Amino acid sequence: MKIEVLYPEVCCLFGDKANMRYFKLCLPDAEFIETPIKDQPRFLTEDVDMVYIGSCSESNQEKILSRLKGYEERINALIEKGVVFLMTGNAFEIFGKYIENADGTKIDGLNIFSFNSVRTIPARHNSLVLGKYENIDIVGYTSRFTHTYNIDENDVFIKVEKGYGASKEAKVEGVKRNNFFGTYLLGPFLISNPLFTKELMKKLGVENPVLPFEEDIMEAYNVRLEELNDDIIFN
Amino acid sequence: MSRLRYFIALWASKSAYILLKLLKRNATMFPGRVALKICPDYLAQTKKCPNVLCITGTNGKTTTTNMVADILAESGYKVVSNRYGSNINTGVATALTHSVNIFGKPTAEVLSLEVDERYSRLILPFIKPDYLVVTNLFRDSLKRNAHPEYIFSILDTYVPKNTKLILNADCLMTSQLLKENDKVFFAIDKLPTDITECVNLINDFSFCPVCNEKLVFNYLRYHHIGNAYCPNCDFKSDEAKYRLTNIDYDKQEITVSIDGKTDTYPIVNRALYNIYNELACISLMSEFNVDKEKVKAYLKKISVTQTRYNEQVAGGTSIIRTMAKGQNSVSCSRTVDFVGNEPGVKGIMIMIDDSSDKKNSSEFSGWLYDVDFEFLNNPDTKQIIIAGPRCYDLKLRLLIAGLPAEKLSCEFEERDALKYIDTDVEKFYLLHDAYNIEYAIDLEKEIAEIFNNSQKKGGTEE
Repeated sequence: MKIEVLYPEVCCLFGDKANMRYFKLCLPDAEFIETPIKDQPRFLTEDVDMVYIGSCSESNQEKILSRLKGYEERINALIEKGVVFLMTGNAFEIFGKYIENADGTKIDGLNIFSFNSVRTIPARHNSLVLGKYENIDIVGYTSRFTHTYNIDENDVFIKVEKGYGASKEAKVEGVKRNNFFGTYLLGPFLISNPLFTKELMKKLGVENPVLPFEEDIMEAYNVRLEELNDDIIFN
Repeated sequence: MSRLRYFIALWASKSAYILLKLLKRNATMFPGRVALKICPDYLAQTKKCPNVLCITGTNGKTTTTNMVADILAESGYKVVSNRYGSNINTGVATALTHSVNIFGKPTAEVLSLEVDERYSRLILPFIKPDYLVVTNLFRDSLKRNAHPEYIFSILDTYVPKNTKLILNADCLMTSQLLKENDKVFFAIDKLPTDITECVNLINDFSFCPVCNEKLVFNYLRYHHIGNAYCPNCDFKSDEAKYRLTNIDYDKQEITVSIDGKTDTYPIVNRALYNIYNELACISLMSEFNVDKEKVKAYLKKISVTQTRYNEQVAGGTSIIRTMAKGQNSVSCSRTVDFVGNEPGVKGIMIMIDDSSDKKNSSEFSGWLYDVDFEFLNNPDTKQIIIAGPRCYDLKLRLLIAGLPAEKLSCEFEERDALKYIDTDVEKFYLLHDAYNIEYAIDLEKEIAEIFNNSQKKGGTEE
């Protein structure tokens, strides 16, 4: 199994790096390739089973977008083929139609999804999030300078029950198509959501996934879930 | 009209201060808030002292500001500082109220201010500092500060062009600030403990900002703190005017070279990040022409404020309470690195959960994955007690860092966690957040009592 981590030197804010660090413990036999920003993505020339990108600054987001421009066809083909993509934080925004700056100027996205994102700098949006993906409770946190609009209803990843969705009012969050998962939730998303992590492992062909530190990870998840179901401040 | 409004604001602010003091309440923010409410351009309208010095940066600004204010006061200057106050616009407004009389005339010679880096856009353009020290730029709370590039862009936009900068050349991000401003740099020369490849989880300046090539480090201290060059273009670290050339821990001295002339100063605190703060202070005092003998005399007699660090011996064991700022992964990593590298078999208690989230929310714990807890994973670490509502998250983080489960104990309530203390250690560390200092000081006393009692018991049994 081959997993490509794109641009880890810049797409590593807010603890996002922990996702692949933990996934390495989950999949000890998998090959993890870390592709720096000056190099071509390996998925262009060879088969990979999964691509991961984490949170980054706005200037680095534009930099990675420019690095992936021109490869939309290949990315679309991989999504159609069922290759797993996981995007945490603001990484998924580059796959939309455009990102609009606060002054109204627009940066063209990869146009793989129909949504668009709008930057609101210096207004920052922080929120705990409780939601559902299929029958799995998803817990997490979002902290960002942007909101996303016009997500196609067929492309929704998480149905939000509490906290901010794609925008403050939205009840949906992130995008999903086949095995492409993009979410505003950031940090150690896979560690915070062990049941989703097992799902992801199944999509990568692991029949009976077992998580490292399963008892402890489930205890932390259940404590968090209980807290988020309580009457607490989300944002 | 606007001057009348200013004077009303000034008098209201002074009255608010007197009232709060009579009520024995904290008067560091409210008087400034009153002033800004009445006169939104209060910071600009207030006549400034002849000298305005500011200190900002992610870490070290409080320590540096306190040292600067004390040295100036001991050197005979009349100083107004916000050292016990807030470093945001309201706290600075309160300090300005103190710096003038009821007629708005400055009564101090020097205004020495700690400035929050995120709030600097609301402060620096209006108070126009003569000197600005930037200690460093790192990741901090993602809620407030987002990421270091964002803070960099604020400083780069809002620091006045006439302000002279005193920058840390070893912080590759800080040293890129404001290319057009007059500036000097300070740096610590290569140390025996330096490396050339980063061992920290985060390094936010590892690639050339000009050509994206991976930087080569002549020396690397921690995170992106070091001296580097690009093998592909002309980019390199700046030359420092103030260079710390040697640290002598036995003599408790540092040697500082200023334009080639060397001198020795006492060490205020052994931790390297505090030595950087001291060097920043020495650099600013030198730029401000303060008598260096007075600087030395002051440094010899102080230690880092006891609210942030304290050491005592109880029952033959060293009890060390030290701050590990929550939500600030670099500051926390520095403390963890310091604790992990201290010699001797140790017990550690960690209570770094956010006290506000603890009351009525659920703290985001992703920042724990940017902290180098791996440094605690060594044979000298006998036990780690994790206390607070996020104890299961931190336990998981420590397990992923490789710490064996049998060394870890978890407890929701901090005080209840004391029952896990193993007194058979040479050192015991209590790591706490910036917002639970008072609670930590209370627990520190109880911990000392536990160690004192254990010695008594041990003595009887033997």
